[in-house]
Amino acid sequence: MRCALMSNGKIRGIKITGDFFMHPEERIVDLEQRLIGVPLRKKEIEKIVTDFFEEVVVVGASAKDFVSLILKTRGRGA
Amino acid sequence: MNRGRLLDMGTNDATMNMAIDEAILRLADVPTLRLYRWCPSAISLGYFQSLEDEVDQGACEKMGIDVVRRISGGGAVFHGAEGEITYSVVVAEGFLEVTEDVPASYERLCGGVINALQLLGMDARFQGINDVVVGDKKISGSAQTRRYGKILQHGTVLLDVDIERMFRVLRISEEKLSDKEIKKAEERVTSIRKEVGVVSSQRVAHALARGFEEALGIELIPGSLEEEERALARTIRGKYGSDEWNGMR
Repeated sequence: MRCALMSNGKIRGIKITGDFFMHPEERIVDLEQRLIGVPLRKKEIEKIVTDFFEEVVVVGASAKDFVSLILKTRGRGA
Repeated sequence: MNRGRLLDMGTNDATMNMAIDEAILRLADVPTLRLYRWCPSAISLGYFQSLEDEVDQGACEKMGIDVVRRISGGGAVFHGAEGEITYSVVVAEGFLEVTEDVPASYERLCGGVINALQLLGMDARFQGINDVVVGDKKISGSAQTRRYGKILQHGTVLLDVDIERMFRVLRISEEKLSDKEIKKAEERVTSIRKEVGVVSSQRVAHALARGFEEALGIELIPGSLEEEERALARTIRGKYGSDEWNGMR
């Protein structure tokens, strides 16, 4: 899994890619949109990702995987 | 016994192959098994994968290999024109008792491939989430999508494997290779040819049809695409050839 991120402390743009499965697939865009404007902090990211995972079925990656991927991705700055 | 439809061994380019799978998913009102091949050879990319990260597009262009994004998740697959058979199976969501449980539904549907390989003399077994292995080597991988009240699972069964060619067009990350604990790709993948020698694609197709009949508990009647499905496939084919779709992620 990979994450492309633009941030200035808050997420300005994000794209999560990889070989996981999500049903329905197009909902990935909803997750990415919900993350925009959110501070790059564990608590905030975790809340959004965990809530989102309640709404979709993801196979091959966990909410935890998504959260740690986002947090470990260095943003490209403002 | 319930009946389903068998669509046997068409060969199309990548855009048409993916358009036909989607048309069947949208319109089929009976369980349908489609067996097909790709010409020219192609890479199919999982829905969530990055085109740029996964594929060496320059190499593909030089080698005349198409690239297409699937409507299903999962990983990138190299579909050699000679080296594999692709299957797609479409069933109503209610058809499998295990529908809600995605990993269990993979196991159930991969049963068709496992039965087929066993018929051909291989000791094949399921390896979660979505692979079939012989010994500890992968011979088949599959991907599912669920839409329109139905499940589509499509996957590849390797007849022969050209790892070198595959590696020239797919960007295999060092990370991924080390994840797989240093084992070389050649040692992780096998093919029907490697296991039991050359088997004709027709014989493999026949085994797949029998294997899915057994796995699904249905009789598969040879048929063809309905005119509506054909027309829809022609309409949506453009999407699969577009940069907008293929470069979406």
